[in-house]
Amino acid sequence: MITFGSLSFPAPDFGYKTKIEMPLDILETDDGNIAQRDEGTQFDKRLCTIDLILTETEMAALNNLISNSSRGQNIVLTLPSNSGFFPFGPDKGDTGNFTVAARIVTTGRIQDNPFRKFKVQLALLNVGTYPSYSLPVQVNEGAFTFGSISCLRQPNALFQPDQVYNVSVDFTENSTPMYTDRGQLADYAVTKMSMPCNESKAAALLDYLISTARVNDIPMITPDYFYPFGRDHASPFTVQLSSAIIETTHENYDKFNFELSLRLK
Amino acid sequence: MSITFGIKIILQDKLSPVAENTAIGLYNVANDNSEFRWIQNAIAGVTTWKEGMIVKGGIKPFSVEIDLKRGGNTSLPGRGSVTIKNTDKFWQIIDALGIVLIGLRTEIYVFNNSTPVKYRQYVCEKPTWDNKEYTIPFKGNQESRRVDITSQTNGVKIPATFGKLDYAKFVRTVDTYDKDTYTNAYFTDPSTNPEIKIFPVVVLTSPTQYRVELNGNADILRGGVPEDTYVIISSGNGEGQIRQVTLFEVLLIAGNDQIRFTIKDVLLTELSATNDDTRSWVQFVKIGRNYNVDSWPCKDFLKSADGTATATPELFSYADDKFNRISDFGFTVKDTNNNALDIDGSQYSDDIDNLESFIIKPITSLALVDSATLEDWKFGGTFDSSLWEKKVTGIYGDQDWTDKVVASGSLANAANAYDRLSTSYAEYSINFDVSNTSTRKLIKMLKFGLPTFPEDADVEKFYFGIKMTSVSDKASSYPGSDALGSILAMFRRFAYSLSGNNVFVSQYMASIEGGANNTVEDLPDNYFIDTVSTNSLAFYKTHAANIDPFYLNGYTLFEITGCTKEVYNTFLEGGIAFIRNAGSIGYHSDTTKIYELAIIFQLAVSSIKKEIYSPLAGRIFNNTFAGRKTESELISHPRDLLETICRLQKDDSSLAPTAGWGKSYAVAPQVNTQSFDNLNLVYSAAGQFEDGMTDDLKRSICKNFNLVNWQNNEGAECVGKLEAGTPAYTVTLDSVMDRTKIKIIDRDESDIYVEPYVNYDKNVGSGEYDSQLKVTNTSATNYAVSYVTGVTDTAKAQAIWQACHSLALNVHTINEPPSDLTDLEWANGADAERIATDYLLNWVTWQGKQEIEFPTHFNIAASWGEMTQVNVVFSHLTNNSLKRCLTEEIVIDPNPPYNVGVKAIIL
Repeated sequence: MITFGSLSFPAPDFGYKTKIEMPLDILETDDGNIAQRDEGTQFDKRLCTIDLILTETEMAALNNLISNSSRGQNIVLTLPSNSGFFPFGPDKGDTGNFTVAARIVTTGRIQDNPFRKFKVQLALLNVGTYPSYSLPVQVNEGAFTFGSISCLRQPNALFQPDQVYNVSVDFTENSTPMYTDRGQLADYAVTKMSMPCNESKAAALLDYLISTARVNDIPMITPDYFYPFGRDHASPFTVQLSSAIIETTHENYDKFNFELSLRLK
Repeated sequence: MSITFGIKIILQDKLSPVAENTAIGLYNVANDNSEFRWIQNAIAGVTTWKEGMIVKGGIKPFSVEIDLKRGGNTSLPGRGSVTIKNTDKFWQIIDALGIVLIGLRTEIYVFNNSTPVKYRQYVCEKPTWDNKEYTIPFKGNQESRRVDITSQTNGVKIPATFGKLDYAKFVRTVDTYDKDTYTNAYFTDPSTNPEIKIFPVVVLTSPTQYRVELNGNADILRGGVPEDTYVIISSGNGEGQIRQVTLFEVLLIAGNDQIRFTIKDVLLTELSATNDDTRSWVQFVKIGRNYNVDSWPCKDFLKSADGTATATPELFSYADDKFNRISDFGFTVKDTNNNALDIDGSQYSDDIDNLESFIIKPITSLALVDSATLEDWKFGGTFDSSLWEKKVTGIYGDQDWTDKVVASGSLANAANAYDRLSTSYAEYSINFDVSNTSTRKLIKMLKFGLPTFPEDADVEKFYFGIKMTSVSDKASSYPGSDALGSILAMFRRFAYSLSGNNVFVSQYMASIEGGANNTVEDLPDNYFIDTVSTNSLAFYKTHAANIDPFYLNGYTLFEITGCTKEVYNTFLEGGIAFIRNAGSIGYHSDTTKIYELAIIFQLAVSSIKKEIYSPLAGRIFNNTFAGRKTESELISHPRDLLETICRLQKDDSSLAPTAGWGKSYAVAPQVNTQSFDNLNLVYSAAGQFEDGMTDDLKRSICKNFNLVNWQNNEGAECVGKLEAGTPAYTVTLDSVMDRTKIKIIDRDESDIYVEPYVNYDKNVGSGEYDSQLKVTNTSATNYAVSYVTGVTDTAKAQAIWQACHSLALNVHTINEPPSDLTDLEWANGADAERIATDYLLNWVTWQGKQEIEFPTHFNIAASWGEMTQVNVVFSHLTNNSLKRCLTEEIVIDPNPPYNVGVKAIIL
């Protein structure tokens, strides 16, 4: 059980998401590169969105907490030791007191199954310092290296490369092609991937992304034949984050997933 | 096709270049302004353009625009913008460098390979920025190049004057009256009677020099040539007269010192230095009266009669809704630029602003009288001129001298008698040989053509103007018993002969006394076009025959008594007779040199206001425009007017003329000279403008003459006629990117005026237009002449009405046209009606045209701009018929898929 203010209820089901918004100004330039700026980690925001299944009594108590007893106030979320619930990412742990601002995203609604239970979606924004937490010892699980984190698993669905050849073609009404070419130096490549990690690798990877990578160049090494940026480009790579938001989903026990967008430098 | 766009922003730091910062694409240029150069992406071989600055799609669609719906016009500013990254604090970097982007020239370049080609030109507007992006909007420089070509002096706006104007307004730019400087203290020392402002005349040195007595010892430094200084006869003899003082001299006299002053023109009434009530007392004042028609050199002053140049301006005041002729000699041309007048310093009434005006016109011809007798001329009194018979042409004798006198005569260089030159003369010489001792008389007789009466003047009196010398070895005598002078001037009004009846001749004589060896002269210095410096003694100083029969002066002696405007206008011609008495036997010679004959019209006293007017040919080029023009030529052709103003306006070069924008030509003018040279449009335009903003003037020229003015990709001014040409492009669906976006815009009835009118001939006195062309009754079935007023070209009048009639049937609406369509500011002078007629015809045939919009591709329309001639043929929207169009708006999207939006007017 976790304690949320004056309430206690079970930890949320797996599948909850944690969104980390870094204050990065990331900008695509016309030559296919990106320009970046980092306001600093002190302006990072972490938001957890959880679904709770509550009894009528618990639902009433939660509503009362949000609308009455703690209305407009921060609430302390207390996680027992090794709770398995990592509300603000695997790198911030599952134990201790987290001060949060809570908001009901969707009003609790009664369910058929489980019967007479309410399902409510709650958004929690961390507003205080995080409880002390030591990253766990990494457990290797693959041959993919991302930054300083090695032995990561390959992405689930491999990669979604987008090789942009900067040649435009449009057609007049009689299908005459109108080509305009910016030249080969205007070509560029990006990719997206969905990275699965165990808890230790997820914590390490997230810590690396948040603490080190940010707007910096990231070395990336894939085994042969993976072609994360398409056939034109082979490992090793130097990449940059092309999104200031990292979203991680705690999919199951010891299993996290990251959605990453990368720009090949 | 490889296409990459680049943006260049040119700083104004040539004299003190900013620190180069290639990381943000800021490059120094040797001996020139630094530049930001940003390119969409890197291109092989291009090293001094910075990629990675422009954000994705950061160069927004940019346009060139012009609105041709109402006919001729100047282009609009267009629009565009570029957004660059601000993640590296671009704003702070340029702020630290002191760079302000607003107003800097922005150029868009296209790289087809590694060579940039300038494609468009704009100026930066106010930028905005956030954490990520720095956006710089830009537009054409049309709104930032406006400058005023007029100027100000002493808070008075001096107009800009172009072309040949019947009346150009001169505004008073200097208007001072200082009566406090020339006190007794001024001439002596500061403490001695500073309250004394009038001084007694104590010596009449000469007709132009007088001495006045001071109270105390004079300051010897007060002698010299004073500026704008006048003497006013304050009391005593000559009271009320005003003359310009040209010299002060200090005379140290025992007792009170004296000042001797010299006046420019002699006084009409002599002063008195007698110690009684007649003594003249004088006051000295400083008076400034300057008038300017322009601050730019002008071509010529013109004669109102025929528009030819004259060195002596004809001047007018404006009152009672008309221009009134004032003295030609009340003002002098101030300098060689023909754009300023200064008061002449003479011819005043009792006030500096009241002119005692004279118009003096030379005769128009001079010839020997050749009639059989002199019966057509009445000499006055009982003298029977019919008894005098022609001996040879120009010489007449009484009936007694036949066979006793042999005479011959000739008139040489007759035209010199009316050339307004003081030194050239017509010479009339006769010789006669008297065979016995009897007293014989003969008459030398000339006739002359009279100048036209100055209809626009209020003439009060008429005088005969003359400068002449005669040398004869025979003294004059009086014929018969009439006390006529030996020289007679007369004017025939009426003459015909009825059989058996006497001829009646009515004449007016100027009484010119004098002997045979004489000088007769009554013209002022400023009548002559060459330099004459006699203080106009002969004009003002009356010197009658009873003083010296051989020297006659003073215009008042030569009054044509009884003459009025009505009488003058019935004069047929003038005559001048020289009566000689051959008093001894032998051979005699008699020579008369006629330097000038004229009619002096004395006008009613004119009150001179803050404006005076004169026929004028306005601004000259004052520059050759790189060998294409003659500096001294008048600017009157519409293309030259437009080019001149283009060269005066602020352009994008950093080189401002020393006198400032609008006041002299740009050092590096941006003008497409070929465009101007190719324009074949022959009108003589004219106009005077007190509001001289360049863009307003250019727009009015374009509207008045159906011209279009725009800038090419180099930023150079171009001009073209608003007419159908030969399109190089034909647009079909093969050239259109999306046929669903083709749009036809029909005429707007609010822009159609089926019964228009045009105002022209602007009256610079009243500010209103004096003439109008007007179309009426366009709903009638058939044309009638009375439906178009003011248009003298009947074919054009009918064409105008028919065009309006057709429109009237379509729009069923009659609107009041706005003044920017009706008022022609440049239709003045000789070509005014032709300009107005052609403008009206162009207007009525142009209005009501449709417009079309369609999207095409940069690969097709890259070279298109304003005024590109294109044909369009669409199966649906033009029913497969070819329509000629003239582009008004081209919007280029420099990002994929590089479409180009086109808006054009369908001709």
